[in-house]
Amino acid sequence: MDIKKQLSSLVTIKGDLPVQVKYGLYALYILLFVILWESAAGVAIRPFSEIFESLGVLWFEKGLAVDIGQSLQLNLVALASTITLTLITSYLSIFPFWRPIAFAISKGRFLGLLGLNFIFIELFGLGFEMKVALLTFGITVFYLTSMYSIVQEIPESKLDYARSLGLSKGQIVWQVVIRGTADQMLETLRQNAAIGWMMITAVEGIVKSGGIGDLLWNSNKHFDRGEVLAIIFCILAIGIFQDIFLKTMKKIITPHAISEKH
Amino acid sequence: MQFRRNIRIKDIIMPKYKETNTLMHISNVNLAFGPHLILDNINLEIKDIVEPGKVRGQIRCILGPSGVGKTLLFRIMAGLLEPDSGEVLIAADGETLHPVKAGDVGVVGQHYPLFEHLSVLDNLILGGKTAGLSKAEAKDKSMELLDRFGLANWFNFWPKQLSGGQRQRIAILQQVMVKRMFIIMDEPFSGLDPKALHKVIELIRELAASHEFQTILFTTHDISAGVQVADFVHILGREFNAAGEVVRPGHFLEHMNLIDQGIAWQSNIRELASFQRLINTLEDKFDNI
Repeated sequence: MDIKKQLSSLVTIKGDLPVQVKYGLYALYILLFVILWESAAGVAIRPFSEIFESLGVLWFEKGLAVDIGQSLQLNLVALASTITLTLITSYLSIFPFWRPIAFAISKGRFLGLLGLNFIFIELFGLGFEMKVALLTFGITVFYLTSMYSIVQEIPESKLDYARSLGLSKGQIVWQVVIRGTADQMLETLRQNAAIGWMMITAVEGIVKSGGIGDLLWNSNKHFDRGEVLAIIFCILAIGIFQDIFLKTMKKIITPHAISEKH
Repeated sequence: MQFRRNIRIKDIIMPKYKETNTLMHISNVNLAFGPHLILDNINLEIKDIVEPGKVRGQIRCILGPSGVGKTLLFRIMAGLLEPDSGEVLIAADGETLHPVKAGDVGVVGQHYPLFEHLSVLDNLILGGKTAGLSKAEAKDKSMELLDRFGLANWFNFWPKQLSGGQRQRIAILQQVMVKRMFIIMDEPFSGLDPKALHKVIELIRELAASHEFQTILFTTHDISAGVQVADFVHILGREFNAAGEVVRPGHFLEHMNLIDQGIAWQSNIRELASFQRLINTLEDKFDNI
Protein backbone atom coordinates (compact mmCIF):
# COMPACT_ATOMS: atom_id res chain seq x y z
CA MET A 1 0.00 0.00 0.00
CA ASP A 2 2.79 2.35 1.02
CA ILE A 3 4.80 1.56 -2.11
CA LYS A 4 1.67 2.01 -4.20
CA LYS A 5 1.13 5.43 -2.62
CA GLN A 6 4.75 6.43 -3.23
CA LEU A 7 4.55 5.35 -6.86
CA SER A 8 1.32 7.28 -7.40
CA SER A 9 3.03 10.40 -6.06
CA LEU A 10 5.35 10.21 -9.09
CA VAL A 11 2.48 11.12 -11.41
CA THR A 12 0.56 13.52 -9.16
CA ILE A 13 0.09 16.92 -10.76
CA LYS A 14 2.44 19.34 -8.96
CA GLY A 15 2.82 16.68 -6.29
CA ASP A 16 5.57 16.60 -3.67
CA LEU A 17 7.73 13.50 -3.54
CA PRO A 18 8.73 11.88 -0.26
CA VAL A 19 12.45 12.52 0.41
CA GLN A 20 13.54 8.90 -0.17
CA VAL A 21 11.60 8.70 -3.42
CA LYS A 22 13.02 12.04 -4.59
CA TYR A 23 16.66 11.10 -4.00
CA GLY A 24 16.06 7.59 -5.26
CA LEU A 25 14.72 9.10 -8.47
CA TYR A 26 17.74 11.37 -8.83
CA ALA A 27 20.10 8.42 -8.32
CA LEU A 28 18.18 6.40 -10.90
CA TYR A 29 18.41 9.15 -13.54
CA ILE A 30 22.15 9.64 -12.88
CA LEU A 31 22.70 5.91 -13.22
CA LEU A 32 20.71 5.84 -16.47
CA PHE A 33 22.72 8.77 -17.79
CA VAL A 34 26.03 7.04 -16.96
CA ILE A 35 24.88 3.79 -18.59
CA LEU A 36 23.68 5.58 -21.73
CA TRP A 37 26.84 7.66 -21.89
CA GLU A 38 29.13 4.67 -21.50
CA SER A 39 27.22 2.60 -24.02
CA ALA A 40 27.34 5.45 -26.54
CA ALA A 41 31.07 6.06 -26.01
CA GLY A 42 32.96 6.39 -29.26
CA VAL A 43 34.90 9.06 -31.09
CA ALA A 44 32.95 12.06 -29.82
CA ILE A 45 31.63 10.76 -26.52
CA ARG A 46 34.56 9.59 -24.41
CA PRO A 47 34.23 7.17 -21.48
CA PHE A 48 34.22 8.64 -17.98
CA SER A 49 37.55 7.01 -17.17
CA GLU A 50 39.19 9.09 -19.91
CA ILE A 51 37.35 12.26 -18.88
CA PHE A 52 38.56 11.87 -15.28
CA GLU A 53 42.09 11.19 -16.52
CA SER A 54 41.96 14.36 -18.66
CA LEU A 55 40.62 16.29 -15.70
CA GLY A 56 43.70 15.25 -13.71
CA VAL A 57 46.00 16.38 -16.54
CA LEU A 58 44.17 19.70 -16.84
CA TRP A 59 44.26 20.30 -13.09
CA PHE A 60 47.82 19.25 -12.30
CA GLU A 61 49.66 20.01 -15.56
CA LYS A 62 47.74 22.70 -17.43
CA GLY A 63 46.65 24.98 -14.57
CA LEU A 64 42.89 24.43 -14.78
CA ALA A 65 42.44 25.98 -11.32
CA VAL A 66 43.99 29.27 -12.48
CA ASP A 67 41.78 29.34 -15.59
CA ILE A 68 38.68 28.63 -13.53
CA GLY A 69 39.68 31.46 -11.19
CA GLN A 70 40.07 33.84 -14.16
CA SER A 71 36.70 32.86 -15.58
CA LEU A 72 34.99 33.16 -12.19
CA GLN A 73 36.42 36.65 -11.77
CA LEU A 74 35.30 37.62 -15.28
CA ASN A 75 31.83 36.22 -14.73
CA LEU A 76 31.45 37.92 -11.36
CA VAL A 77 32.53 41.34 -12.65
CA ALA A 78 30.30 40.97 -15.73
CA LEU A 79 27.39 39.83 -13.56
CA ALA A 80 27.81 42.82 -11.24
CA SER A 81 27.86 45.20 -14.24
CA THR A 82 24.86 43.41 -15.75
CA ILE A 83 22.83 43.67 -12.53
CA THR A 84 23.63 47.39 -12.18
CA LEU A 85 22.82 48.23 -15.80
CA THR A 86 19.72 46.05 -16.00
CA LEU A 87 18.14 47.14 -12.75
CA ILE A 88 18.67 50.86 -13.34
CA THR A 89 17.32 50.56 -16.89
CA SER A 90 14.36 48.35 -16.05
CA TYR A 91 13.26 50.21 -12.92
CA LEU A 92 13.43 53.53 -14.77
CA SER A 93 11.21 52.03 -17.49
CA ILE A 94 8.23 52.59 -15.15
CA PHE A 95 8.51 56.19 -16.41
CA PRO A 96 7.51 56.69 -20.05
CA PHE A 97 10.56 58.85 -20.89
CA TRP A 98 12.92 55.90 -20.34
CA ARG A 99 10.77 53.17 -21.87
CA PRO A 100 12.15 53.47 -25.46
CA ILE A 101 15.73 53.12 -24.15
CA ALA A 102 14.94 49.96 -22.19
CA PHE A 103 12.94 48.57 -25.11
CA ALA A 104 15.78 49.25 -27.58
CA ILE A 105 18.48 47.67 -25.36
CA SER A 106 16.38 44.56 -24.84
CA LYS A 107 16.21 44.09 -28.60
CA GLY A 108 20.01 43.75 -28.61
CA ARG A 109 19.44 40.05 -27.91
CA PHE A 110 18.98 39.53 -31.65
CA LEU A 111 22.57 40.64 -32.26
CA GLY A 112 25.27 37.96 -32.21
CA LEU A 113 28.48 38.43 -30.26
CA LEU A 114 30.52 37.53 -33.33
CA GLY A 115 30.81 40.64 -35.41
CA LEU A 116 30.06 42.92 -32.49
CA ASN A 117 33.43 41.91 -31.03
CA PHE A 118 35.19 44.31 -33.45
CA ILE A 119 33.29 47.25 -32.03
CA PHE A 120 34.05 46.13 -28.47
CA ILE A 121 37.76 45.62 -29.31
CA GLU A 122 37.89 49.13 -30.75
CA LEU A 123 36.19 50.57 -27.68
CA PHE A 124 37.88 48.58 -24.91
CA GLY A 125 41.09 47.12 -26.41
CA LEU A 126 41.94 43.43 -26.29
CA GLY A 127 42.03 42.78 -22.55
CA PHE A 128 39.94 42.07 -19.46
CA GLU A 129 37.75 45.18 -19.93
CA MET A 130 36.71 44.03 -23.39
CA LYS A 131 35.80 40.57 -22.10
CA VAL A 132 33.77 42.14 -19.30
CA ALA A 133 32.03 44.51 -21.72
CA LEU A 134 31.20 41.77 -24.22
CA LEU A 135 29.92 39.39 -21.56
CA THR A 136 27.96 42.16 -19.84
CA PHE A 137 26.32 43.01 -23.14
CA GLY A 138 25.57 39.34 -23.81
CA ILE A 139 23.81 38.80 -20.47
CA THR A 140 22.21 42.26 -20.13
CA VAL A 141 20.15 42.05 -23.31
CA PHE A 142 18.49 38.86 -22.04
CA TYR A 143 18.20 39.84 -18.38
CA LEU A 144 16.80 43.24 -19.33
CA THR A 145 14.17 41.60 -21.53
CA SER A 146 12.90 39.65 -18.52
CA MET A 147 13.09 42.58 -16.10
CA TYR A 148 11.53 45.03 -18.55
CA SER A 149 8.56 42.75 -18.95
CA ILE A 150 8.26 42.25 -15.15
CA VAL A 151 8.18 46.02 -14.59
CA GLN A 152 5.74 46.67 -17.45
CA GLU A 153 3.41 43.95 -16.19
CA ILE A 154 3.03 45.37 -12.68
CA PRO A 155 -0.77 45.48 -12.41
CA GLU A 156 -2.43 48.89 -12.35
CA SER A 157 -4.27 47.76 -9.21
CA LYS A 158 -0.97 47.55 -7.28
CA LEU A 159 -0.04 51.07 -8.35
CA ASP A 160 -3.56 52.30 -7.49
CA TYR A 161 -3.26 50.69 -4.08
CA ALA A 162 0.05 52.44 -3.39
CA ARG A 163 -1.30 55.79 -4.68
CA SER A 164 -4.42 55.47 -2.54
CA LEU A 165 -2.22 54.99 0.54
CA GLY A 166 -0.72 58.38 -0.27
CA LEU A 167 2.76 57.10 -1.15
CA SER A 168 4.96 59.52 -3.07
CA LYS A 169 6.38 58.63 -6.51
CA GLY A 170 9.69 57.67 -4.92
CA GLN A 171 7.95 55.48 -2.33
CA ILE A 172 5.86 53.81 -5.05
CA VAL A 173 9.01 52.99 -7.05
CA TRP A 174 10.68 51.64 -3.91
CA GLN A 175 7.74 49.62 -2.50
CA VAL A 176 5.99 48.45 -5.67
CA VAL A 177 8.61 48.45 -8.41
CA ILE A 178 11.81 47.57 -6.55
CA ARG A 179 10.84 45.67 -3.39
CA GLY A 180 7.59 44.36 -4.85
CA THR A 181 9.39 42.62 -7.72
CA ALA A 182 12.55 41.58 -5.83
CA ASP A 183 11.64 37.90 -5.84
CA GLN A 184 11.09 37.92 -9.60
CA MET A 185 14.28 39.94 -10.05
CA LEU A 186 16.30 37.26 -8.25
CA GLU A 187 14.57 34.42 -10.09
CA THR A 188 15.24 35.93 -13.51
CA LEU A 189 18.79 36.74 -12.43
CA ARG A 190 19.26 33.05 -11.64
CA GLN A 191 18.01 32.08 -15.08
CA ASN A 192 19.96 34.71 -16.98
CA ALA A 193 23.21 34.35 -15.03
CA ALA A 194 23.43 30.89 -16.57
CA ILE A 195 23.72 32.57 -19.97
CA GLY A 196 27.03 34.03 -18.74
CA TRP A 197 28.57 30.57 -18.53
CA MET A 198 27.22 29.74 -21.98
CA MET A 199 28.80 32.87 -23.42
CA ILE A 200 32.04 32.87 -21.48
CA THR A 201 33.61 30.29 -23.76
CA ALA A 202 32.84 32.42 -26.83
CA VAL A 203 34.13 35.62 -25.18
CA GLU A 204 37.35 34.03 -23.88
CA GLY A 205 37.79 32.32 -27.20
CA ILE A 206 37.77 35.67 -28.98
CA VAL A 207 40.31 37.35 -26.70
CA LYS A 208 42.42 34.28 -25.92
CA SER A 209 44.10 35.57 -22.79
CA GLY A 210 43.38 32.70 -20.42
CA GLY A 211 40.27 31.43 -18.71
CA ILE A 212 38.31 28.24 -19.03
CA GLY A 213 36.95 29.27 -22.44
CA ASP A 214 40.44 29.77 -23.84
CA LEU A 215 41.44 26.36 -22.48
CA LEU A 216 38.39 24.82 -24.13
CA TRP A 217 39.24 26.35 -27.50
CA ASN A 218 42.80 24.98 -27.27
CA SER A 219 41.69 21.46 -26.36
CA ASN A 220 39.10 21.60 -29.15
CA LYS A 221 41.75 22.72 -31.64
CA HIS A 222 43.89 19.70 -30.71
CA PHE A 223 40.90 17.30 -30.91
CA ASP A 224 41.44 16.27 -27.30
CA ARG A 225 37.89 15.07 -26.67
CA GLY A 226 38.57 13.90 -23.13
CA GLU A 227 39.81 17.37 -22.13
CA VAL A 228 36.94 19.11 -23.94
CA LEU A 229 34.39 17.02 -22.07
CA ALA A 230 36.23 17.45 -18.77
CA ILE A 231 36.10 21.26 -19.19
CA ILE A 232 32.43 21.17 -20.18
CA PHE A 233 31.59 19.16 -17.04
CA CYS A 234 33.62 21.66 -14.98
CA ILE A 235 31.56 24.54 -16.41
CA LEU A 236 28.38 22.59 -15.67
CA ALA A 237 29.46 21.99 -12.07
CA ILE A 238 30.30 25.69 -11.55
CA GLY A 239 26.98 26.69 -13.14
CA ILE A 240 25.02 24.37 -10.86
CA PHE A 241 26.87 25.75 -7.82
CA GLN A 242 26.06 29.31 -8.95
CA ASP A 243 22.43 28.34 -9.40
CA ILE A 244 22.23 26.88 -5.89
CA PHE A 245 23.93 29.99 -4.49
CA LEU A 246 21.46 32.35 -6.20
CA LYS A 247 18.49 30.22 -5.16
CA THR A 248 19.70 30.38 -1.55
CA MET A 249 20.13 34.15 -1.84
CA LYS A 250 16.56 34.41 -3.10
CA LYS A 251 15.30 32.48 -0.07
CA ILE A 252 17.24 34.74 2.28
CA ILE A 253 16.44 38.07 0.62
CA THR A 254 12.79 37.44 -0.26
CA PRO A 255 11.45 34.92 2.29
CA HIS A 256 7.86 36.05 1.60
CA ALA A 257 8.07 34.48 -1.86
CA ILE A 258 8.56 30.96 -0.55
CA SER A 259 6.19 30.98 2.42
CA GLU A 260 3.43 28.45 2.39
CA LYS A 261 -0.16 29.57 1.97
CA HIS A 262 -2.44 29.50 5.00
CA MET B 1 -46.88 56.97 -1.98
CA GLN B 2 -48.34 55.63 1.23
CA PHE B 3 -44.88 54.55 2.34
CA ARG B 4 -43.31 57.95 1.59
CA ARG B 5 -46.02 59.76 3.51
CA ASN B 6 -45.39 57.50 6.50
CA ILE B 7 -41.69 58.28 6.48
CA ARG B 8 -42.32 62.00 6.37
CA ILE B 9 -44.74 61.90 9.29
CA LYS B 10 -42.33 59.72 11.24
CA ASP B 11 -39.48 62.14 10.67
CA ILE B 12 -41.51 65.09 11.77
CA ILE B 13 -42.51 63.34 14.94
CA MET B 14 -39.08 61.86 15.80
CA PRO B 15 -36.19 63.00 13.61
CA LYS B 16 -33.40 60.43 13.91
CA TYR B 17 -30.73 62.48 12.28
CA LYS B 18 -30.03 65.59 10.26
CA GLU B 19 -27.96 66.06 7.15
CA THR B 20 -25.37 68.81 7.45
CA ASN B 21 -22.30 69.70 5.37
CA THR B 22 -21.45 68.01 2.08
CA LEU B 23 -18.63 65.48 2.35
CA MET B 24 -18.51 64.37 -1.29
CA HIS B 25 -20.12 65.78 -4.38
CA ILE B 26 -20.07 63.90 -7.66
CA SER B 27 -21.52 65.90 -10.49
CA ASN B 28 -22.16 64.98 -14.14
CA VAL B 29 -19.43 62.35 -14.32
CA ASN B 30 -19.10 60.64 -17.69
CA LEU B 31 -16.59 58.04 -18.78
CA ALA B 32 -16.15 56.33 -22.14
CA PHE B 33 -13.69 53.81 -23.50
CA GLY B 34 -13.35 54.72 -27.16
CA PRO B 35 -16.86 54.95 -28.61
CA HIS B 36 -18.38 53.03 -25.69
CA LEU B 37 -19.91 55.13 -22.95
CA ILE B 38 -19.49 53.31 -19.63
CA LEU B 39 -20.70 55.81 -17.05
CA ASP B 40 -23.42 58.23 -18.02
CA ASN B 41 -24.05 61.37 -16.03
CA ILE B 42 -23.31 60.13 -12.53
CA ASN B 43 -24.46 62.43 -9.75
CA LEU B 44 -24.30 61.85 -6.03
CA GLU B 45 -24.09 64.07 -3.00
CA ILE B 46 -22.98 62.63 0.30
CA LYS B 47 -23.76 64.76 3.34
CA ASP B 48 -22.66 64.32 6.91
CA ILE B 49 -25.32 62.41 8.82
CA VAL B 50 -25.55 63.73 12.35
CA GLU B 51 -27.35 61.71 14.98
CA PRO B 52 -27.78 63.84 18.10
CA GLY B 53 -25.63 62.65 21.00
CA LYS B 54 -23.69 60.13 18.95
CA VAL B 55 -20.50 59.96 16.91
CA ARG B 56 -21.61 58.22 13.77
CA GLY B 57 -20.06 57.93 10.34
CA GLN B 58 -21.96 56.41 7.47
CA ILE B 59 -21.83 53.35 5.29
CA ARG B 60 -23.03 53.40 1.71
CA CYS B 61 -23.41 50.43 -0.58
CA ILE B 62 -23.32 50.65 -4.35
CA LEU B 63 -25.18 47.73 -5.85
CA GLY B 64 -24.94 46.89 -9.49
CA PRO B 65 -24.43 43.97 -11.86
CA SER B 66 -20.99 42.94 -13.13
CA GLY B 67 -19.62 45.14 -15.87
CA VAL B 68 -21.80 48.14 -15.06
CA GLY B 69 -18.77 50.26 -14.13
CA LYS B 70 -18.68 50.10 -10.33
CA THR B 71 -14.91 49.65 -10.11
CA LEU B 72 -14.34 52.46 -12.62
CA LEU B 73 -16.63 54.73 -10.65
CA PHE B 74 -14.68 53.89 -7.50
CA ARG B 75 -11.40 54.71 -9.22
CA ILE B 76 -12.86 58.08 -10.25
CA MET B 77 -14.16 58.72 -6.72
CA ALA B 78 -10.71 57.90 -5.33
CA GLY B 79 -8.95 60.29 -7.72
CA LEU B 80 -7.18 57.41 -9.45
CA LEU B 81 -8.93 57.87 -12.79
CA GLU B 82 -9.85 61.11 -14.53
CA PRO B 83 -13.42 61.13 -15.89
CA ASP B 84 -14.02 62.41 -19.42
CA SER B 85 -16.24 65.11 -17.96
CA GLY B 86 -17.72 66.07 -14.62
CA GLU B 87 -15.96 66.30 -11.29
CA VAL B 88 -15.68 64.77 -7.86
CA LEU B 89 -15.32 67.15 -4.94
CA ILE B 90 -14.40 65.87 -1.54
CA ALA B 91 -14.12 67.35 1.93
CA ALA B 92 -11.17 65.25 3.14
CA ASP B 93 -11.23 67.18 6.43
CA GLY B 94 -15.03 67.04 6.62
CA GLU B 95 -15.31 70.79 6.03
CA THR B 96 -13.84 72.17 2.79
CA LEU B 97 -14.64 70.71 -0.61
CA HIS B 98 -11.85 70.37 -3.18
CA PRO B 99 -11.32 68.23 -6.30
CA VAL B 100 -10.40 64.70 -5.23
CA LYS B 101 -6.83 63.54 -5.77
CA ALA B 102 -5.10 60.19 -5.27
CA GLY B 103 -4.46 59.64 -1.59
CA ASP B 104 -7.55 61.55 -0.37
CA VAL B 105 -9.64 58.40 -0.38
CA GLY B 106 -8.52 55.06 1.01
CA VAL B 107 -9.13 52.09 -1.26
CA VAL B 108 -9.45 48.44 -0.34
CA GLY B 109 -9.47 46.81 -3.75
CA GLN B 110 -10.74 43.43 -4.83
CA HIS B 111 -8.59 40.53 -3.57
CA TYR B 112 -7.50 42.69 -0.62
CA PRO B 113 -4.17 44.07 -1.81
CA LEU B 114 -1.32 44.34 0.66
CA PHE B 115 2.40 44.69 0.13
CA GLU B 116 3.41 41.05 -0.20
CA HIS B 117 7.03 41.73 0.75
CA LEU B 118 6.06 43.32 4.06
CA SER B 119 4.86 41.46 7.14
CA VAL B 120 1.38 42.20 8.49
CA LEU B 121 2.88 44.56 11.07
CA ASP B 122 5.09 46.34 8.53
CA ASN B 123 2.09 46.82 6.21
CA LEU B 124 0.28 48.61 9.02
CA ILE B 125 3.37 50.58 10.04
CA LEU B 126 3.75 51.81 6.45
CA GLY B 127 0.15 53.02 6.56
CA GLY B 128 0.81 54.84 9.83
CA LYS B 129 3.98 56.45 8.49
CA THR B 130 2.12 57.87 5.48
CA ALA B 131 -0.26 59.47 8.00
CA GLY B 132 2.70 61.21 9.64
CA LEU B 133 3.32 58.91 12.61
CA SER B 134 6.85 58.04 13.67
CA LYS B 135 7.85 54.40 13.25
CA ALA B 136 7.54 53.76 17.01
CA GLU B 137 4.11 55.41 17.17
CA ALA B 138 2.95 53.52 14.08
CA LYS B 139 4.16 50.24 15.57
CA ASP B 140 2.35 50.84 18.86
CA LYS B 141 -0.89 51.79 17.11
CA SER B 142 -0.62 48.83 14.74
CA MET B 143 -0.19 46.35 17.58
CA GLU B 144 -3.09 47.97 19.43
CA LEU B 145 -5.36 47.57 16.38
CA LEU B 146 -4.23 44.00 15.71
CA ASP B 147 -4.92 43.15 19.33
CA ARG B 148 -8.32 44.84 19.31
CA PHE B 149 -9.47 42.92 16.25
CA GLY B 150 -8.06 39.57 17.29
CA LEU B 151 -5.26 39.54 14.74
CA ALA B 152 -2.25 40.02 17.05
CA ASN B 153 -1.06 36.44 16.56
CA TRP B 154 -0.50 37.11 12.89
CA PHE B 155 1.61 40.28 13.23
CA ASN B 156 4.76 38.71 11.77
CA PHE B 157 3.05 36.66 9.06
CA TRP B 158 3.44 37.41 5.34
CA PRO B 159 0.18 38.43 3.61
CA LYS B 160 0.47 35.26 1.50
CA GLN B 161 0.11 33.17 4.65
CA LEU B 162 -3.23 34.73 5.66
CA SER B 163 -6.72 33.51 4.87
CA GLY B 164 -9.03 35.69 2.74
CA GLY B 165 -10.90 37.02 5.79
CA GLN B 166 -7.69 37.86 7.65
CA ARG B 167 -6.24 39.62 4.59
CA GLN B 168 -9.43 41.62 4.21
CA ARG B 169 -9.35 42.80 7.80
CA ILE B 170 -5.64 43.68 7.63
CA ALA B 171 -6.27 45.65 4.40
CA ILE B 172 -9.06 47.58 6.15
CA LEU B 173 -6.88 48.17 9.23
CA GLN B 174 -4.13 49.52 6.98
CA GLN B 175 -6.59 52.16 5.78
CA VAL B 176 -7.47 52.90 9.41
CA MET B 177 -3.76 53.54 10.03
CA VAL B 178 -3.70 55.99 7.10
CA LYS B 179 -6.60 57.88 8.74
CA ARG B 180 -8.69 58.51 5.64
CA MET B 181 -12.19 59.92 6.23
CA PHE B 182 -13.34 58.20 3.03
CA ILE B 183 -12.70 54.53 2.46
CA ILE B 184 -13.84 52.73 -0.64
CA MET B 185 -14.06 48.94 -0.64
CA ASP B 186 -14.50 46.94 -3.78
CA GLU B 187 -16.34 43.69 -3.07
CA PRO B 188 -15.26 43.42 0.57
CA PHE B 189 -17.37 40.29 1.17
CA SER B 190 -16.37 38.21 -1.83
CA GLY B 191 -15.01 34.77 -1.09
CA LEU B 192 -15.50 34.97 2.67
CA ASP B 193 -17.02 32.19 4.75
CA PRO B 194 -19.90 33.22 7.09
CA LYS B 195 -17.62 33.59 10.13
CA ALA B 196 -15.11 35.77 8.27
CA LEU B 197 -17.98 37.73 6.70
CA HIS B 198 -19.39 38.48 10.14
CA LYS B 199 -15.99 39.69 11.38
CA VAL B 200 -15.55 41.96 8.34
CA ILE B 201 -19.06 43.40 8.81
CA GLU B 202 -18.30 44.11 12.48
CA LEU B 203 -15.03 45.76 11.55
CA ILE B 204 -16.72 47.98 8.95
CA ARG B 205 -19.39 49.00 11.48
CA GLU B 206 -16.80 49.76 14.13
CA LEU B 207 -14.71 51.73 11.67
CA ALA B 208 -17.73 53.79 10.57
CA ALA B 209 -18.51 54.60 14.19
CA SER B 210 -14.97 55.80 14.87
CA HIS B 211 -15.41 59.35 13.53
CA GLU B 212 -18.28 61.67 12.66
CA PHE B 213 -17.04 62.23 9.10
CA GLN B 214 -15.99 58.63 8.47
CA THR B 215 -17.63 57.50 5.25
CA ILE B 216 -17.37 54.00 3.87
CA LEU B 217 -18.51 53.14 0.38
CA PHE B 218 -18.50 49.61 -0.88
CA THR B 219 -19.72 47.51 -3.76
CA THR B 220 -20.99 44.00 -3.38
CA HIS B 221 -22.85 41.25 -5.12
CA ASP B 222 -23.95 39.97 -1.74
CA ILE B 223 -27.20 41.93 -1.39
CA SER B 224 -27.99 40.54 2.05
CA ALA B 225 -24.57 41.43 3.52
CA GLY B 226 -24.70 44.82 1.81
CA VAL B 227 -28.10 45.74 3.24
CA GLN B 228 -27.12 44.46 6.70
CA VAL B 229 -24.30 46.93 7.00
CA ALA B 230 -25.34 49.90 4.82
CA ASP B 231 -27.17 53.10 5.78
CA PHE B 232 -27.79 53.94 2.12
CA VAL B 233 -27.99 51.81 -1.00
CA HIS B 234 -27.32 53.30 -4.43
CA ILE B 235 -28.28 51.19 -7.40
CA LEU B 236 -26.05 51.53 -10.42
CA GLY B 237 -27.53 49.99 -13.52
CA ARG B 238 -28.20 50.20 -17.24
CA GLU B 239 -31.38 50.58 -19.24
CA PHE B 240 -32.20 48.13 -21.99
CA ASN B 241 -34.65 48.25 -24.87
CA ALA B 242 -37.00 45.44 -25.81
CA ALA B 243 -34.29 43.82 -27.93
CA GLY B 244 -31.98 43.65 -24.89
CA GLU B 245 -29.63 46.36 -26.18
CA VAL B 246 -28.21 48.92 -23.77
CA VAL B 247 -29.95 52.22 -24.38
CA ARG B 248 -28.36 53.95 -21.43
CA PRO B 249 -25.13 52.75 -19.82
CA GLY B 250 -24.17 52.90 -16.13
CA HIS B 251 -26.00 55.51 -14.10
CA PHE B 252 -27.70 55.67 -10.73
CA LEU B 253 -31.20 54.21 -11.02
CA GLU B 254 -32.20 54.67 -7.44
CA HIS B 255 -30.95 55.92 -4.08
CA MET B 256 -32.35 54.21 -1.01
CA ASN B 257 -32.17 55.63 2.49
CA LEU B 258 -32.24 52.64 4.82
CA ILE B 259 -32.32 54.84 7.93
CA ASP B 260 -35.62 56.35 6.81
CA GLN B 261 -36.86 52.89 5.94
CA GLY B 262 -36.19 51.80 9.53
CA ILE B 263 -33.69 49.15 8.48
CA ALA B 264 -30.31 50.70 9.19
CA TRP B 265 -29.08 51.29 12.76
CA GLN B 266 -31.14 48.36 14.06
CA SER B 267 -29.49 45.65 16.11
CA ASN B 268 -31.93 42.94 15.03
CA ILE B 269 -31.85 43.89 11.36
CA ARG B 270 -32.00 40.33 9.98
CA GLU B 271 -35.22 39.67 11.85
CA LEU B 272 -37.05 42.67 10.39
CA ALA B 273 -39.74 41.93 7.83
CA SER B 274 -38.76 45.14 6.01
CA PHE B 275 -35.21 43.80 5.67
CA GLN B 276 -36.42 40.64 3.96
CA ARG B 277 -38.79 42.63 1.73
CA LEU B 278 -35.96 44.91 0.68
CA ILE B 279 -33.70 41.97 -0.15
CA ASN B 280 -36.46 40.50 -2.34
CA THR B 281 -37.07 43.83 -4.06
CA LEU B 282 -33.37 44.32 -4.76
CA GLU B 283 -32.99 40.79 -6.08
CA ASP B 284 -35.89 41.39 -8.47
CA LYS B 285 -34.38 44.66 -9.61
CA PHE B 286 -31.07 42.96 -10.31
CA ASP B 287 -32.66 40.81 -12.99
CA ASN B 288 -33.51 43.86 -15.06
CA ILE B 289 -30.39 46.01 -14.79
